[in-house]
Amino acid sequence: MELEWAGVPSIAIVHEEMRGSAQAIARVSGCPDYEFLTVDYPWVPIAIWSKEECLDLAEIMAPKVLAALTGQS
Amino acid sequence: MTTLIGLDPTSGPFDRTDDHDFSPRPASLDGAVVALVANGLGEGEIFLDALYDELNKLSDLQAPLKVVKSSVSIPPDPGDWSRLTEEATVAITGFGG
Amino acid sequence: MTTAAQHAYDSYEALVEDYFEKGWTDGLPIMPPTPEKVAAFLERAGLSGDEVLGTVPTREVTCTAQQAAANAVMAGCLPEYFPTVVAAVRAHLHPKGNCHSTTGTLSGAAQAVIINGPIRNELGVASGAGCFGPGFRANATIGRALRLVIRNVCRGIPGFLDRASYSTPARYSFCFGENEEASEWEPLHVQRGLAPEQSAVTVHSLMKMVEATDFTSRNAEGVCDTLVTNIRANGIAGDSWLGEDGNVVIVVGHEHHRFFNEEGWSKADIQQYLWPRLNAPATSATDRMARIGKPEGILIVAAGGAGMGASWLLLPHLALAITEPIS
Repeated sequence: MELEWAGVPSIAIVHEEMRGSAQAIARVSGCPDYEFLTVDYPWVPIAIWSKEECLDLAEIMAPKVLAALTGQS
Repeated sequence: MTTLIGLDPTSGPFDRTDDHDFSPRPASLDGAVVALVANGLGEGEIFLDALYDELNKLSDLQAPLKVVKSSVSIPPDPGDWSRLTEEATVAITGFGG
Repeated sequence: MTTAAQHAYDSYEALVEDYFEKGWTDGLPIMPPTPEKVAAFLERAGLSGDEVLGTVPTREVTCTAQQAAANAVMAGCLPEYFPTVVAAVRAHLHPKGNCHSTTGTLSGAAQAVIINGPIRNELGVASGAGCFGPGFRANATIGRALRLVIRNVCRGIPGFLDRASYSTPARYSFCFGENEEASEWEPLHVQRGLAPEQSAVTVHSLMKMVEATDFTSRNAEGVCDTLVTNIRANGIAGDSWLGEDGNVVIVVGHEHHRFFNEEGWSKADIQQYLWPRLNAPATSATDRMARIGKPEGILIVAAGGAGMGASWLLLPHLALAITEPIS
């Protein structure tokens, strides 16, 4: 969010299990409507992704990231 | 009837009133410098590198600007922060573990 | 002078129920933070209500003395405890106390408040048998006060900014004293640069606590080897932001301490013995490097009662143990 305020369009990728915390930070930071891209279950939380899961998720997330960063989402 | 006064023990409402604006989005990422901000957790760097490769298939990106934070729990170092704000067109980060 | 919002009630029960309803308690009843009590706490600490004790920038939080006092009253503290609570809050809100991470983490890290100096005996802080558990007002309420500050001021609320998968009972309260009278050992706060007559708190955020039991060793080296085995079974990861100043706290129990006393081992001797062994490369998944940058980063504390051949290892979360003098 601070990158946004500094003029750099940004997107944060969050696992479903941390979405509440991310939204809480957005709320207390004065950006309650900040949108996160969420990776949902059955994908496991970010910190325990395997290398293979990283590659699979990158392919899945890329179109969503592109859409979010170009205002198409 | 006895009246008992209790003080609010909190630091106030969660919601701030000084809302920030979002940055305008570019129409496309062609020619963009994409910043990849890794928090150092798990295999996050592998994911961000792969994500860049996938995005580069969808757009004609410049070389990425990659920042790995020195600790998961703090913002990027001041030098990295300057590079991000001065050189990046857009940025991608991960949040949490 | 108070600046906090005031709420009026017809009874104690009505106040407590409303504080439960507002989410301002830890799930246990609280004492009413009346303006008079809060003022008495502030007076005892010589602080104005708007004195800033620390901040949590990521959460847009500034913690004032008045907020800390209100929470200390709620926790059941006596006014004379409040200077210790203030020091604990300041220590936890030190930038490298890392409030945001240690109170938001999935791992449910807890905060240990370790008290040194003359104030232990003045307040009745337990450092002997049962000192980690219930039964001692100073221990219970000082530790609880810090946790209520974390909840109410720092917004460490389960489901909001506290994302612990399990959390831990140690998050209700975890406070004990060092048993400075148990030996000639230099107390923790003296090792960290304060005078013996200066009372102090050390706040250490711990990822987990592990009991290192050893009923068979009969000498200092044997006990130390058990400590090493237990710490290395868990490992301690380095962190470049914390640098070389990372900590682990070892609470040495009575039945282990006696061997150090008999053989004349100082805390420095223990640190020098442990440090290279903790930092040795991993040999297996259950014998991992415990990355501590300096021998003095191993914090040795004497506490606990007789009988159990055990010491406790307070393994760190992403923070330094911060020692703060009590004013």
